Amino acid sequence: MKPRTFFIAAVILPIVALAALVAEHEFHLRHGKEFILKIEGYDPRDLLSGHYLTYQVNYEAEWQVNCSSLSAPDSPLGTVPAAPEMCVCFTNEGTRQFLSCDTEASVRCEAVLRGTCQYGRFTAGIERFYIPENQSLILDHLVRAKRGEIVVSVPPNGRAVIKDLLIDGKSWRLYPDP
Amino acid sequence: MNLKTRIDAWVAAGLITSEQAVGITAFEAARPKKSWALLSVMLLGSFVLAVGIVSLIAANWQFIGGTTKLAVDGALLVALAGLMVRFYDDKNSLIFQITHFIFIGAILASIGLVSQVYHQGGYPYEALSLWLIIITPVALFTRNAAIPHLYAGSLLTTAISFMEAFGPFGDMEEGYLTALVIVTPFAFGALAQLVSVLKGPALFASALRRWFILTLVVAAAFTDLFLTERQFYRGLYTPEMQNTALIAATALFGFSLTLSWSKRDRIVLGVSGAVLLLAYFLLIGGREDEVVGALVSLAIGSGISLLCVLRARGRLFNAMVVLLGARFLIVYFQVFGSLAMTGVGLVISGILIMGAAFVGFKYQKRLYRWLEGAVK
Repeated sequence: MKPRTFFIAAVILPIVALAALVAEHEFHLRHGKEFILKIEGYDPRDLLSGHYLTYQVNYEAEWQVNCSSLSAPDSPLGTVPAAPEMCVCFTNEGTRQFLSCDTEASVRCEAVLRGTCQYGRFTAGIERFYIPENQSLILDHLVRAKRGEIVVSVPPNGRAVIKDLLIDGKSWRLYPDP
Repeated sequence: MNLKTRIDAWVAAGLITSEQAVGITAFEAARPKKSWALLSVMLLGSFVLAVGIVSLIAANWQFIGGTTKLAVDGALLVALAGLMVRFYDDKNSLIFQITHFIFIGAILASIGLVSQVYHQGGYPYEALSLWLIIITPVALFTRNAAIPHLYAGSLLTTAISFMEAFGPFGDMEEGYLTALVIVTPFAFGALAQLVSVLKGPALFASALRRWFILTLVVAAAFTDLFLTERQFYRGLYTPEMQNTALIAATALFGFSLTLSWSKRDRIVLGVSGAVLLLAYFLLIGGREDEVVGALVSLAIGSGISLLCVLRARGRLFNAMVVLLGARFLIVYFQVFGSLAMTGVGLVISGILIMGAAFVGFKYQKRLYRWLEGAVK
C-alpha cells in the first residue's frame, strides 16, 4: 500500500471509532429496558460541578451483598484492590436487589445493571447529568429537594445509559426557564 | 546576527572568499524557507479561531439538540479529514500541518461531546486513553514536532490520571508518585527506542528522547527532595509494589540504553540512570540523607550537561549549568542552616550568589569548549 493510502486509513480510523461509540450508545438507549430511579444529592459541595449535576442514585434495592462484603480483585498496579463489580437485579416481580455479578445468573432478573464499588459506594456511570448553565441553580435546588429522578435504559450487557432527567415526574425540559 | 552579517564577518576573517560568499548567499536565497514564526502564528490563529467557534456554539448550547451537535461535529471532522487528504501530497503545506493539529485536538473534543450528550461519567484517563489509541496512526504522519510533544505530554497526563483514579484515597501522593517519578523517564527512553526499532517517524523518536532527558532531570530533583525531606516521601503500599516499580524501571532502562546513540552518549545516560535507580533503592530502604540527595542531583545534572556537550546542545548545557548552580546554592543553605539567615550570613550569601552568577556566565562558554575538547 502507498503511504497516502495508509494516511487515509489513519484519518478514517478515529472518525469510525467515534461513530461506533455513538452507535453503541444509541443501541443501548433503544434496546435496553427502561427504569425510573430516584436521585438525591450526597455532597452539597460537589452536587453541582460546572454544567452537570452529580448525584447519588437511590436504587431502593435490598442488599444481598454490599460493597464491603465483596472481595476485590488485584489491580493492575499490584496488590492495591481494584473496584469490585456489583450488580443490581430488576426482578420480574418489580423488586430490586444488590447482588454479586457472579450470582446474577441464578436469580431471575428482568434486567441487570452493572456497576462497581468505589470507596464503599455503588456507582454505575449514571451519576452525572449535563444541563444548561442557565438552569443549573434551579435544577440543583430541585435535586437537593429529592424531587429528581432519572430514566435509564439498561441494555443486555448491563451498562446503563441515561435517557432523561425527571423533575416531579416530568422531563426537566418541560420545567420553565428561570 | 543575520546571515549577511555572518558572511561578511567570515569574509573579513578570511574564512571564505568573496566568490564563496556570493555563492552561499545565492544558495540560501534560492532555498525554500520553512518559516517557524509563520507556522507558530498560524497555529495560534487557528487555536483562537477554534476557541471563538466553540464560544459561539457554547452560548447557544442549550438550544441545540444532541443529535444536531453530534452531526455537526461529525461533519467538521470529515471536513478536516478531507482538507488533510487534499493537501497530503504537498510536503511543505501549512494548511496540512494546521488541520492535522486541529483534527487531533477535535477528536478529543468529540469524545468529550459524546460523553456529554449521553451523560457518561468516568475518569479522565478513560477518555485520554481512548483518544491516544485512536489518534496514534494519524499522529505518526506528523510533519512538525508539536504533535509528538503533545502526544508525549498526554501519555504522561494519562498515566497520572490513571494512578489518581486507582489510589484508594484518590490521592496519588499517598503512594504512586514515587513509582511514577522513577518509571517515567525510562518508559520514555524505551518508547523512543521502540519507535526507532520499528522505523517510526524520526520526529516522534526525537521528541520521546527529549522527554526521556527532561523527565530524568525532573526525577533527579524529586528523588533529591524525597531523600532530603523525607516527609514528602510516603512510599508505596507494599514491598511487592516497590519491587515491581524497581524491576519495571530497570527493564525499561536496559531497553532505553539500546537507543541508537553513540557509545559515549549511552555510557553517560547509563551512569545517570544507574544513579537514579540506586537513589530509589536507598529511598525504599528508608535512607534519609540530604548529602546523598544533593549528590544524586549533582551527579545526574552533570551527566545530562555532559550529554548536552556530546550532542552539541549549547543552550541546554547553559540551562543545566544554571540548575546545577542553583543546587549548589541550596547545598550552601543546607550546610549553614540558620547561620546563613543572620545579617552577616545574608550579606555573605548575597555576595556568593552574585559571584556564582558572574563566574557562571563568564566561564560557561569556556567550560563548554573545554568539555567539548575533552570528550573528542
